[in-house]
Amino acid sequence: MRRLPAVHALALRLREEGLTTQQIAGQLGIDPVAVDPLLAVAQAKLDAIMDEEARD
Amino acid sequence: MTTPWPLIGRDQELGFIDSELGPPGSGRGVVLAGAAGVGKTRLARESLAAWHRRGAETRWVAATASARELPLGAFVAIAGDLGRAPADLLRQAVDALARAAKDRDGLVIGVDDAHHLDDVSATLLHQLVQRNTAAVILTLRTGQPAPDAVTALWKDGLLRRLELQPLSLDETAELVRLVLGGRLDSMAASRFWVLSGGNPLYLKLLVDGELEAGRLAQIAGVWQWAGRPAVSAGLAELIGQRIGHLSQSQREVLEYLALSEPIGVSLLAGLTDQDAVEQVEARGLVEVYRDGRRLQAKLAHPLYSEVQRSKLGVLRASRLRGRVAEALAATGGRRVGDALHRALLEVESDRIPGPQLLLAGANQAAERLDLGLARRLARAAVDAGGGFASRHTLAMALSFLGRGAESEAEFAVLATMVQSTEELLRILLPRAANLLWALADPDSATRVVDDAAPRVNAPDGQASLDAVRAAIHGGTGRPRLAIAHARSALLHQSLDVVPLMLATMGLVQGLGGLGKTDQIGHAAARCYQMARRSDTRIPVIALSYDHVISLLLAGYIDQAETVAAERLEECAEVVGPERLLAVVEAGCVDLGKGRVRQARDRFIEAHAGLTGMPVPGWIMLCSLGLTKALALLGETGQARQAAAELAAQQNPAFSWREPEMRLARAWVAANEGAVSHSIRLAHQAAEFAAEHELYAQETTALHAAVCFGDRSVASRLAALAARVDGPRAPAAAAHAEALAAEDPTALLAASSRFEQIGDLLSAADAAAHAAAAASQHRSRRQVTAAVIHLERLASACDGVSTPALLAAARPLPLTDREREIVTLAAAGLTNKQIAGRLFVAVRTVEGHLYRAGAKLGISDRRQFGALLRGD
Repeated sequence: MRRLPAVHALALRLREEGLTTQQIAGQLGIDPVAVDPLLAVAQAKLDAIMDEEARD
Repeated sequence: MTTPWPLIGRDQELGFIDSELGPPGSGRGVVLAGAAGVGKTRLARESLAAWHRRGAETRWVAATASARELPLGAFVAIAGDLGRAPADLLRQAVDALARAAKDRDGLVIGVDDAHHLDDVSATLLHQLVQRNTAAVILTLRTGQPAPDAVTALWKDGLLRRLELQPLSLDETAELVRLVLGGRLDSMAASRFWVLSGGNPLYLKLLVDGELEAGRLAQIAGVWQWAGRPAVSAGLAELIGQRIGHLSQSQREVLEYLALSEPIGVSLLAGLTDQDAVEQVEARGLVEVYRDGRRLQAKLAHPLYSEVQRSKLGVLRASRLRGRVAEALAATGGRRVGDALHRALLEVESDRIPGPQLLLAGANQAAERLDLGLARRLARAAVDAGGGFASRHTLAMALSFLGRGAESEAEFAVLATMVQSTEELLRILLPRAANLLWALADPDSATRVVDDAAPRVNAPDGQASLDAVRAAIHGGTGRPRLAIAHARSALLHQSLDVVPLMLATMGLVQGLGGLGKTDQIGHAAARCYQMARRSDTRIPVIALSYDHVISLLLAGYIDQAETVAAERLEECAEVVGPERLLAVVEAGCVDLGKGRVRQARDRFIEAHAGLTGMPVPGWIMLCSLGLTKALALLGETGQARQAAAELAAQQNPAFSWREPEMRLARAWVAANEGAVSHSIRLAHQAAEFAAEHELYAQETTALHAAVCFGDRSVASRLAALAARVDGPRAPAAAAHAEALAAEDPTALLAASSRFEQIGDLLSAADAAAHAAAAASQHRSRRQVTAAVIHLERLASACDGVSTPALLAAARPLPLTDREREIVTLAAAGLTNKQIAGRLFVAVRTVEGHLYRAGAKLGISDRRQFGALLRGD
C-alpha cells in the first residue's frame, strides 16, 4: 500500500473499511461514477506491486 | 525538439482503457479526467498509438477555447469538407468518419480537453458513441464545466470516467532515474516528488530547470540535487495559468502562506481578510485542515509557494514575515514549533529577534533533526548575546553536523565559561563525543574525561563520566571495560538521555562484540523509548547502527531488518548525514540477507552523499559495506578501489569494526581469485577479534574462512558456538565441521540453517560446498539435490560470485591450490606476480600450473580463462 499513489491507497482502505461508493466519492472529492474505475486501477496497481515483491 | 519522457506508472491505466474500448470495432470508450499536467493527454495519445498499431483507424481532436466559437470547430479537421447545410452537418460528419474506418479495424478518436468542445462537436461526439460508430478516448480537466452532451456520456453510463492520479514516490523516482540515466539520491527523489506533487509536467519542468541551473548534478555516480529550486520561466507561467487572476487581498493570502505556511486560519484572516481566505480555498488554491483545535491553511500545491516567493521582492517579503511573526507573538506562541516558526520569520524579517527566541528556535530545529537550521539559529543567538546556553546548542549542532574542529573550538570557549558542575557535565559529554566521533581522537576524549573527573563528585555526575568511558571503550574495541562502565552508569535510573545513549552505545558494542547479544534488546529499547520522549534524538542513529550490526553478527537478521526499517523511516525526511547512516544501516541488512545489488546501490547512494560531509567514521562504515558488496558482485576494479579507500579511512574510534575491515579486504582477494590469501586475511581478522575479546566478530571472520574453503577452524568455531549468542555461531560451527568431514548431507543441513536465519549468502556457500563434496563421493542423487538448492540460493543472492559458488559452477578436477593459481593466471597475472600474491616460490607456481594443465589437457595459459568461464 505504501508504494501506491496516495489516492489509490486511500480508496482501497476506504473500501476495506466498508464505506459505500457515495461515501468514498465524498472522501476523495470525486464524482460517484468515477469511484469504481478508480478502485479497479488501484487494485490492479496493488496486485502488480505484490507480484513484483513476491518475485523479489 | 525535446525528446518525450518515458511513460511510467501508467500500465494499469492503459489496461483499463483497453478493457473499456473492448475488441477492435466495438465502439465504446473512456473519459480520462484529472488535473492539468497529470498526464491525461500523454496517456490518451499512447493508447491511441497502440490501437493504431493493432489495425484501428485513429484520429486526434484537440479542442481549444478558441475553436469553441465555431460549430464543429474541433472536428472540422478530421471530418473533412462537410458542405454548407447546417441541418445535415451532424449526419455528414458521422458518415464521413464512418467511411474513414471502412478499410481498417474500427475507428478510435482521441478528444483532448473535451470540456472545450462547442455544443455541436459535443453532440457529434455523443452520437458517435451512442451509435458505436467510433470508440473514443476523451480527456478533460477535473473541475472544469463541460457541455451537457459530454457530461451525459459518463452521467448516463455510456462511458466510464477514470480520475487520473499523480505518480507515487516510487514512480516519480523511477521516471527521473530513467530520464537522467543513472542512480538518483533518494532524498532528491523524495524532494522532486514532494515539490511536483507527482505531476509529470511539473516534474519535467523542475528537472529541466534544475539541470540547466547546474543544481542537479552527478556526484560520484549518483544524481544529487543541492539547494533550493529556482522556478523556471516555463514553470512559473504554467503555475500562473493554473492559479489564474487574483484580487489584491487574495494574492496577499497566497503570499503570506508562501512565506510561512501553515498559518492558523484565524491568524491569516486577521492579517488579510476572511472573505479572501474563503475565496482562495473555494478556488482550490489553499487547503484548510484541522490540526488539533486549530484550523490551519496551506497552499494546495508546493509549487504555488515557490512561484509566489519568486515574485516577491526582498523588502516586501521581509515586511510580510515581520507581520506574521508579530501576529504569532501576540497569540502567545503556545504550540510546539511556534518558537521555531517565529524565529525563522524574524531572522528574515524587518524585526530584530532576541536571543531567547533564537535559542528556543534552534533547540526546536535540533529536535526536528534539521541541524543546519539549528546551527544557523544558534549562531544568531550567540551573536545576539545568548551566552552559555546558546553557545552550547551551537557546539552541539556543529558536532552532530560532523564539523568537529569548529565544534571543539566552541566547546573550548564554553569550558572557560563553566560556573557549576552541572555546566561542566553539560559540555563534557558532547565534547568527549565530538572528540571521539567527529575528530576520531579517542585519546583526547579520554583525557577530557579524566581531567574533569576530580571536579565531579555527585553520583549522577560520576555516572555520566562512566557513560562516556563506556562509549570510548566500546568504540575502540575493549568490550569488557565498555560493559563495566556502561552497567555502572545505567544503575542510575535517573540518568539523562545523552549519557544514557552513550552508555547504551558502549553496552551494545561491548555485549555485541563479546557475543552476549541476547542482553542487548532491553537496554536498547529503554534508550529508544527515552529518546522518543526526549528532545534529544540525534545520537539514536549511531546507537541504532551498532545495534543492527550486533544483531547481524549474532544472526538475528530479521530483528536487524526491523530496527533498520524503523530508522530509515524516521530519517526519511532528515537533511544531513543521519539519513545517510540509516541508508548504510539498511544496506548492511541487505548484505546480511544476500540482497547484494540493493546493498551496493544503498552504499553507493550513501557514499556519494557522505563524501561531501565531514563525518569520517560514517564514510568508513559505508566504504566497509560497499567494498564487500562490490567484491561479491565481481566488480573487481571498483571493489579494489573501495578497499583502498577503506584502508585510508582507518579510524581508531571504530576499532570494534576492525575485524570486518580486514574481512572486506579478504572478500576482495577472494573475488580476484587469491583464495589462500583471503583465508589468511580472514584468520588475521579473527586473531584481531580474539585478542580484543570480540567473539562475535571472531565467529564471522572464521566462518568467512570456512566459506573460502578453510577446513582447519571447526574446533574453534565449536568453542565459539558455546560462547556466542544467536543462531549464527552454531550454524557456522556446523558448516565448518561438515566441510572438514566433506559430508554433503551435513553441509546441506548447515545450508538450511543459514537459510532459516535469513543469511542466504552463507547458505549458498554451504550448498556449493555440499555439491562439491557430493561430487567427490560420486553421489549423483546428492549432487542433484545440492545443485538445485544452490541454484535457488545463488539466484536469490543476485548471482554473486564467491569462491565456493564459482567452483560449483565450473567443477574441474583440480585441487583448491591449483584452481587458485589457474584463476590468477587466467586473470593475466605472471607467475612472479602470482608467487608474490600467494607468498610461494615461482617454481611452486610453475609446478601447479603444469599439473593443472596436464589434468585439463591445456598447454596455453590463455585457455584457462575460457575454461573457467565455461566458454
